[in-house]
Amino acid sequence: MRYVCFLSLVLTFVSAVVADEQELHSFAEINAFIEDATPRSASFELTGKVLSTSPLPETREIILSDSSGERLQLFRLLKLSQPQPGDTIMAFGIANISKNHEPYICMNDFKVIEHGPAPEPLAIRLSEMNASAHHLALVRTEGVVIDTFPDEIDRRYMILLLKDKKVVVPVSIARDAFCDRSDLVDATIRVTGIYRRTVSSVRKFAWPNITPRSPEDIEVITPPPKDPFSAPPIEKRLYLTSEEIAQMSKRSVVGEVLATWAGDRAMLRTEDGQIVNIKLAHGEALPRCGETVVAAGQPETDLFRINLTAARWKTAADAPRAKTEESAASVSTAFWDNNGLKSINGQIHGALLRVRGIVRTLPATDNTNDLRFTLDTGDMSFSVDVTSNPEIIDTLQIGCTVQVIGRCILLTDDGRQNYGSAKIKGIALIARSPADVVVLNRPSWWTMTRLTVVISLLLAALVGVYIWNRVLQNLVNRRGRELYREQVAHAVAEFKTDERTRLAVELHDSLSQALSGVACHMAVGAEAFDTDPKTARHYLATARKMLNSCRTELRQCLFDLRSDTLEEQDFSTAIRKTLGQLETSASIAIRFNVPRQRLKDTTAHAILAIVRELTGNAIRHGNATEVKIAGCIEPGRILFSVKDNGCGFDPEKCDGPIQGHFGLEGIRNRLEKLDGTFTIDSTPGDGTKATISIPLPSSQRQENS
Amino acid sequence: MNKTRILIADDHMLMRMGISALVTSTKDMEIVGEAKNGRQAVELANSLKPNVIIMDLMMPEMLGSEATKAIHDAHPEIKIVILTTFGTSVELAKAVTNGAVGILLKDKVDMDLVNTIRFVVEGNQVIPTRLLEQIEQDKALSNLTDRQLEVLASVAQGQSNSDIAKQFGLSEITIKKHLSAIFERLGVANRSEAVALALRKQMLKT
Repeated sequence: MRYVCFLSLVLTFVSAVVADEQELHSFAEINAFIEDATPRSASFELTGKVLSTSPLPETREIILSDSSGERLQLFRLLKLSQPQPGDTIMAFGIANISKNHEPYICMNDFKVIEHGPAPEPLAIRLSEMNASAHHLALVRTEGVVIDTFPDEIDRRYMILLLKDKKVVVPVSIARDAFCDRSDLVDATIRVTGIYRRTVSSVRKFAWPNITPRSPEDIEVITPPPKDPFSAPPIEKRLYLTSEEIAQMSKRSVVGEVLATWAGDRAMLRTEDGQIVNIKLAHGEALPRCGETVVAAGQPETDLFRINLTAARWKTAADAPRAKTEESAASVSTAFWDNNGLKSINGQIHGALLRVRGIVRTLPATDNTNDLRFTLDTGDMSFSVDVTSNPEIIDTLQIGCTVQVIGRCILLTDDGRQNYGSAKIKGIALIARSPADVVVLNRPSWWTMTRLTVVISLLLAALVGVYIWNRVLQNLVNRRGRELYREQVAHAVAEFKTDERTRLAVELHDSLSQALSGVACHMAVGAEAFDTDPKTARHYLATARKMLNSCRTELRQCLFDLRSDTLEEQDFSTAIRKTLGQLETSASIAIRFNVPRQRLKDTTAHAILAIVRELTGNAIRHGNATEVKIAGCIEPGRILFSVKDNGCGFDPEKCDGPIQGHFGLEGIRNRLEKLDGTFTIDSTPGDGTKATISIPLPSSQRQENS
Repeated sequence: MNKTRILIADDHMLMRMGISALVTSTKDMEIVGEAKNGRQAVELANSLKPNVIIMDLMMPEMLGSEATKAIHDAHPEIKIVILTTFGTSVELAKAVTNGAVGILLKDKVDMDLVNTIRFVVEGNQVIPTRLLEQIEQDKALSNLTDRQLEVLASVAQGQSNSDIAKQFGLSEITIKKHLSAIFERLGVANRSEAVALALRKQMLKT
């Protein structure tokens, strides 16, 4: 029992799985499959009779029908041979619904069950055909070919428009098979073919059409008349319904061409003033405005007037002579006041109107069959068609003021949407020639926005320039100040570095003067040599002493220079160095708290010389064994003292000029140069203290503080 | 015969001694006094009224050129001979402008002193020709007013025009005018050249 249950479960499962792969066996099943447009596929196996195959073998299409009258469109594999209409076949294949809900029935194989005669087409009037009942049916019908043109979607086919009463159905013939049958225009033909509702994969929603299979399927019943313009003239009767009009056969009209537009439209005015719009058949050229032509085509109506469609024309043999000078009426005649609302005056159709306005739009595309621009009069906008005169567009700019003289056409809908309530949608003007559009005024380049933009740009530029100017100026000033400061500092610095040079100059100067002094003495001595040898001796001795002093000074200087005494950062060390020259055993204590940087070279040298002289005096003449040297800085001056424990001396007596530049006189001399003061405190037996003060000049104070 | 009375003004002792020796060795000149600085020179000139003063240029307390002016203004009859190390300097030009009649180079003092004194006593000017040209040049330089020198000194310290204006309580425009006058006098094109020239010619006390 359990096994049975299990088995049935498995079977159900398997069948469910397998059941995904349906097998369709009848037309009803397949049609239901197609109706339910969910994307899926199923295999099929069908039996049916071949109604028709495609006129072009590469299309691989087969129309099958079954005994109940259901029909199906299949596509056979290329490798398969083509079955013949009338054959009963068994077809195998896959029915597929794509993701886009498009059905595609593919026949992978077929078996001819029996051959049969060609199927009998259904004889039916065009007006009786409808897509739901007769889709894919083989029909035979009759009608008049009113126009022929190539199929834009599939260039392999040509369309013949077949009209019977008011119904027009396109007949699609394969050009390779049928050749160009434009000779059939205006002929009455009988055609046998498949009536279907879809044509190609591009057009998803299409007009139904009839596809005959071969040229034999088209039979000419009545050939086209020799004169295509021999149709009767348009009815003058009014108040015909659109049905009645549609049932009318070809009609003709003679009139003057008032306007042409849209590439295939023309407006004719008959001798008695009737305005007829014409839509030309494919391939017909547009007539010229002003020409009188005779046109013939299929009548139709927009409930306002009778128009001709699929029309052809030729110049009228006998054109009426005198053309009345037509003057353009003002556009206001196109409207009348309806309790404050403007209504369009229907009489305006075909009239010549003069409108002045501003061009608001120009054609956006290059579609040469639809060149229109919009004219704005302030109250309203008009469309102006210049398709027949495309050069007008080149003269126009948006914003121009133009005056247009144009044929007025009423834009209407034909009421089919509104069940007979046709409406005037508006009026359009058609320019007949380039002279109809006159540019009165070109728009000024300057619009408010442009003006404000330009002005603000200029202002911004001005401000920018001004700011830039100021910035540059500041930069230049700053740089200038920097530069000159640099220059001045450089000049001063250059000079300051010559401080050492100055010292050297001073020393040389001093030496030079001393030598001059020596020279003077020697000159006098030489003079007195013969006459007064005693005086001469005296002067020469003095000269010699002076020279000795010079040499001593020189020696000291050279020592200081060689031992870098002046470079010494610690002035106490400098003093000690220079006193080392004295070669004495006396003890010398030095406490000089003056930073070297605060002294100019000349001051430093002077201090060294003074200290040297005083110490030398103390040791040589005072027999001192201890010398104390102390120095410090006070606001505005340097104060230092040299104290010894020697035997002291009488300051008055030691002023020996023999010592020349040196000695106390020399010290005084140096100090005078430096604006300094010098005091000596000495008592015989009690040592000596010399105090010196040298002022610090303000510039030194400044630079060093 | 009266000897020519000579006053020596020099801050260098050996120089004074030398000149003194030379003068004393002549028969027609005598030293009446020795001054160690410019102020002393003026005082002694007033009190001693010498015939000739040998005046050193670079002296403390008062420069030789100033002393020359003071003495010459008070006693135009006193002949002043400038003693100088270099033949070119602004001070020399000033001294000559102020009334000095002779220039003596220290290098040549032993050779030229006596003759120079004798010449100027006779009423001549003893100024070497090549020095005359340069003196003329330097005279122009020395013609800066005190105010202008002050301004120039401020410039040398690196101050801008507005700073100097504030310092002297003048408007910037006045300062600018001063500067253009200074530049023109000195024959320079800009501040740094002016400062360099002034420092070189020792016109500024730094």
